[in-house]
Amino acid sequence: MQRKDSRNMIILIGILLLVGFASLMVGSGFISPMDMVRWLFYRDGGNEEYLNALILSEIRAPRLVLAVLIGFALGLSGAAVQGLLQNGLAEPSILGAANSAALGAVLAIYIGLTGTLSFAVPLMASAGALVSVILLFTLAGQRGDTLRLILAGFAISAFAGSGISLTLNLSDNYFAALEITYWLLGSLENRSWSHVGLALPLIFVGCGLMLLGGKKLDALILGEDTAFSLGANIFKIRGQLAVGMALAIGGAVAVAGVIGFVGLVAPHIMRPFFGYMPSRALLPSAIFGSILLVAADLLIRLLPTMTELKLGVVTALLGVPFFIYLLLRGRGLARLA
Amino acid sequence: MAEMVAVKTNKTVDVLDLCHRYEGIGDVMQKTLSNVSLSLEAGEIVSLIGPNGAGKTTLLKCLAGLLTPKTGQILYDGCADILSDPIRRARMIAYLPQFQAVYWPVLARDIVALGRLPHGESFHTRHIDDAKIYEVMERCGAEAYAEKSVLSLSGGEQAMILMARLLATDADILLVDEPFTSLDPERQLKLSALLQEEALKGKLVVTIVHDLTLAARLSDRLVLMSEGKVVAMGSPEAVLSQKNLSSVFNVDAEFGRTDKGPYIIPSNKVTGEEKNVAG
Repeated sequence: MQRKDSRNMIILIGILLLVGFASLMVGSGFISPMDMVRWLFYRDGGNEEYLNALILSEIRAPRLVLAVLIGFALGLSGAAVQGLLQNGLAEPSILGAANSAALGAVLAIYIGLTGTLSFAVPLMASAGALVSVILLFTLAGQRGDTLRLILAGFAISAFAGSGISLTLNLSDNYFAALEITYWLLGSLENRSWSHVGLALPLIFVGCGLMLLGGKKLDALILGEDTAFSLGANIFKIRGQLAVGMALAIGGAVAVAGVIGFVGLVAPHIMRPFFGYMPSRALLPSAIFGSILLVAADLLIRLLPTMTELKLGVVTALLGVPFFIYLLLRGRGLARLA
Repeated sequence: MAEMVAVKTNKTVDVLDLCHRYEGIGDVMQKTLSNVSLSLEAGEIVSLIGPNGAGKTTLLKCLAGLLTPKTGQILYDGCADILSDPIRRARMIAYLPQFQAVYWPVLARDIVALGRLPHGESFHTRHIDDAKIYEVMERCGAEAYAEKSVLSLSGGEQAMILMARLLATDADILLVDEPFTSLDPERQLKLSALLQEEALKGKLVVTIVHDLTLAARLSDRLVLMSEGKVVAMGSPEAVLSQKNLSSVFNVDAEFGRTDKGPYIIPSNKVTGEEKNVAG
């Protein structure tokens, strides 16, 4: 059992390394692994090789790191929220953090007249996510039950969603509206190390909280009363996971926009391999989230489209058919209720 | 069966003048406990009986610390503060709720292993008491499906797995809400024997039973409840009187006894007059 788990984990990490490596090689120009190693220490300016080394270290590497981080955050949040709510249909955005972060970013674009790459956007998005956590716990109360938490999250999510629509509605600048719409589709285009620096702390702390709190999720599989009788502090677990999720999702949305479906499908795909205990799905889902996002981003760069496809579009386009396949096959999916 | 635990000395649970009321559901549906006092002792099986809505589950949840009573208190060995320490509470009191369903295809053995959580044993710690887990599954007759998904098991098999989960906690007080409901006759007898073994080991078993024959044969004492109050308490013979059954359950009953124990068969009341105990 244990050995099978670690074997599966090694395979997962192997796949991640593979797609990660491929993602460094492929782009506007091909960079071979040999060149990569050579340019790792290449610091001479002025020629074509130097330019390629720059592309590698300043464009592709941060893009890859962001894809890994954000996929990790999305996959982990998905496994955590499904375990917490004991519902396979839950996805991280259910608690309102994703929409709130998006609203923050949209407002920054709208009022600040800034470009989408300005730092006002991720900063405002992070602030939006944090505000949503505070709101969530004010509304749901420290001792509120799970249903109350979901409803409060739903209210926040709907409110932030309509806030985004309102901003679009009121925007008299056609280009600003277009910019907002594009941003909302989610992308990793033109992201730099500064974006990594912004997302990393939020995602790190958020994922840390989720991984720590998630170990205690298993008792919930027998319902809250039994979990309580087994000594679990449900309020603490719930608080830890909700805050962790908001931070991680906030960090992810802040730099990459809204990327759907990874959080929903990653746990479902991993459970048949790692077992259905909520805590066991956490880390595999996180790593698989990274794989999904790196692969989707790789695909975007490989597809010869006029304008680069948006990441959020591709994850949903790829994810939905796969999800339907799992659904039709009838295996691998837990009962969805 | 590594160690047969000797009868523990004087473990008691005292319920003192307990009152409980569900908030915010509206006047009609409010189930309450009013002025419930009981004294329970280690080594006995006490079954709560009474019509639906009598407050049996509410009382059991108060004993488990899941519900906080409005007034009154519960003392465990003379102490009320055990409920405020989750780990101490979980090691001392095990609770099996009614209608428990698992929605994920988890291995039966992994469900039983959850019973070790109060002892700090989980998949994330190095040590997990596999011997204990195997032992309780064997005692519940569930070892054959240890490696199967709970969703593939029948209702009765699932119930025995959940029972094994309860026993895996090694707690001194077992609170079991209607464990017999989904069991076939053979498993009902097996579970009865199992609970009696636990009582012999010095554990306090409090259970809710609707089958009166089962309750009478299983229990050392019965607590008859109606509308949130304790109507009668004592030996099965004393509590299961024609008068009590008629006034509380609103049925007549045929009593009898074989060499295996008493039996009670309820039947419709013949007289038309409606009597209700607390009116």
